[in-house]
Amino acid sequence: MYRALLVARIVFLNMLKSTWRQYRPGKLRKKPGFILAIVYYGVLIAILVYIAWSKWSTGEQSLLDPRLSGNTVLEFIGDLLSALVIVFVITRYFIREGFTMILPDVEFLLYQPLHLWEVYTGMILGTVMYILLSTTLLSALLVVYGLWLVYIFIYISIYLMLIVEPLFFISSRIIRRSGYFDIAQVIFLGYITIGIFHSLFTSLYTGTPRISIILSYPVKGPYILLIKLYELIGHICFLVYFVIIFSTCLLVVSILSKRLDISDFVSFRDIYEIKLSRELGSSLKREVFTTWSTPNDAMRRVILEFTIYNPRTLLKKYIPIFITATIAGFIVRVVLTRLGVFVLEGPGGVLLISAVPMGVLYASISFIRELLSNDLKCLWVIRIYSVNIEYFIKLLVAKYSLVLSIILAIITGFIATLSNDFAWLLALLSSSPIIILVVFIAILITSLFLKRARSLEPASEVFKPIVDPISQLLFIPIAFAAMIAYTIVLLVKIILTNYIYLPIILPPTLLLSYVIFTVTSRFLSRVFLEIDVNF
Amino acid sequence: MSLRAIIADGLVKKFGSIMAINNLSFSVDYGDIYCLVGPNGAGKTTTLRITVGLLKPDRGCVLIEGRDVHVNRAEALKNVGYVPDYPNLPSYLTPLEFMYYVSALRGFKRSDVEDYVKYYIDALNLGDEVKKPIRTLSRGALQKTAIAAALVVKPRVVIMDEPLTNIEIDTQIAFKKIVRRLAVVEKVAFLISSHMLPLIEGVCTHVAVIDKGRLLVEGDMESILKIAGERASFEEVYLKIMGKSNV
Repeated sequence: MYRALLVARIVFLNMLKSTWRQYRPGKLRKKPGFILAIVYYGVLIAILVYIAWSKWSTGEQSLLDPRLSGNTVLEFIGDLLSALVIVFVITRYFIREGFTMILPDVEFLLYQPLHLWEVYTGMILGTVMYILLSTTLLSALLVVYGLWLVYIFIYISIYLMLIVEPLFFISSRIIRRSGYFDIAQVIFLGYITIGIFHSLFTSLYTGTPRISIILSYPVKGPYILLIKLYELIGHICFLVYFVIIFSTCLLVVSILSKRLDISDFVSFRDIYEIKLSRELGSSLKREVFTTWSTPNDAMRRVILEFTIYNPRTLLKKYIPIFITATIAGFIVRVVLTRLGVFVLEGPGGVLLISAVPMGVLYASISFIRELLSNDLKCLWVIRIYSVNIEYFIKLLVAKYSLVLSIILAIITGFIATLSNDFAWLLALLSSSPIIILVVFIAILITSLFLKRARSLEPASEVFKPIVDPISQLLFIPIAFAAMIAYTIVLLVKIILTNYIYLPIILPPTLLLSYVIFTVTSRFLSRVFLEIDVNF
Repeated sequence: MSLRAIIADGLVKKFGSIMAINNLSFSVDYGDIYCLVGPNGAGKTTTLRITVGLLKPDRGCVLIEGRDVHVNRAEALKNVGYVPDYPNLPSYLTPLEFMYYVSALRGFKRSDVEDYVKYYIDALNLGDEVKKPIRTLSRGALQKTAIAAALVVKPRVVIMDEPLTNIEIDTQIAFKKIVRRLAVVEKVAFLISSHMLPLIEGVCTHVAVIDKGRLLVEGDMESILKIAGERASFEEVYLKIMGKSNV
């Protein structure tokens, strides 16, 4: 057990270091992450104190009460998410090929004189500790709706990570090796089908959409246990809950993982490479770059067209998402509100309107930073072989303004359909100067980061950016740009409420966009001409 | 071609409190194959990056073909080919496309470089790799791509940082032949950093040994080899310079 805890410590510290120390050792280089952490936790504490104060002063129920308020919308969303999680885990381990990925920085543990169960248990515990620490960011958003929602999130997360994932992973590997995997697949498919039919049946019977307890209980169950414990023994239930979950995890993993084999683990990098090769394979079904008319033409084609997601393929990729989001918005507004299940003005509506944009923005950050990282890593090529850095910068600003606009179009399209207010699209159009400006700021911040980044190894560190450390550096500027751009669209929407303004504001907006584009590109090109390229 | 190909004068570069380069000066003539040698962390990569203008020195200057690389970048680099220590290349292009891309950036037409591209693909054994995305290449193939791209632009000055890392033996032999031919026949100037003794002994005409950012010894190969006595190998010379003769 001691060695498992030791492994947990290594995994935890490794993840922590790669997040907070994105730079090489040196006081100055630690500073940005440190300041950001202080600001973040300061804001978090301020929000908590404010909410606690306002709720206590109005005599509301205890903030530490983890019981659900009985709000049907939230219960429905909770059931739906629980069912989706359980279907996802089953699909991952019993329908498709499911491995557990091992992070590159701890791969060496597999080849040490340790029992496999010690490595595996340590990995789980270390990852859980890190995730709990880092997900306070998400918790901060939930705090607005009440502390008990944070509890739901944390306690269900712990349960999923410590019990559901390991149990399903280990049992799927054991069953696969025993030769009964086909039978297991049939059983689980049957389980999902019964759950879906039960949901449909109860929805029709009661006249309101419901998710079957068959699908939601495996996830919600432990939380219900927590509430029962709370009613019995009060606040000490949190401690008891942790002890139960941790000891069950250790028992399950230590007994079952003895049947695991080293081949059950695959390197994160391998999976990434396989995925990337597949994507690249399809991306190469294109014309080959062999003709150009001028150096600028060649640069334009390579930066805008010969990337994995050029604006054209991006549009192709996102049009279905846009249509799906719009239809979803329409269904929620027309169908669910008519059934009386959903009230847009209520907390469920606010949650939905905030959650979808946040989800889309968060999902976009990773691919934008991969794109930008790919472009910036080749800055040396431009500095050595090209005469025209200004044109390169113009292409970068144009490319990322367009990418960000496409993402914001999906979000505003969804909200416009949901709220039946198409002035949202007008708000997006009117925000184009700001979008260009935030892209400029993001690239500028990136250049300052890169200036400080000394020789970065081609591979290492944690998660996707492990394979691409520069991409890791880009998280803050990209997230910053995406959030600011979205906030600006929200603000513009408050000011501009009608289409009638469109003919008036569009020409000056376009002119302003052009001016900002030209000025910022010129400024950035000077920065990029001077910047130390040490990567 | 009366000018020297590269002149580095009094280069100083600090990273925080670390002195990476300390008053380093050297020069490379056309036809020279000038090799920077030294232990890890000696400042070789920093020197090469300053030479091509990717890093700005805190003091000193670099002239390439008579033009200051940090003042007149475009003119100074217009005949330069460069291979970085780890070549970050556009992931979604193929090696073939990358070679054409750098040629295009230099203002060449396809017909100007087509024969060179074919020649270097063949000479450096790139084979079928040229049609695969760069992101899927092995480290060796990536290195060969960077070398080929540096040479297809018909450079008069070539700067290479550890060019033979991860490259198989037959390509190493081919590389040495190419470098020798370009230096002797076409008077191309080479500035190379390397840890590989066969490359240093077999190809280089001039050597500079640096450590902790300082130049310890510099000269043509013949005079350098005499440091450890008659018939000494470069290995012996290097150990003597570094004060490790007893290794």
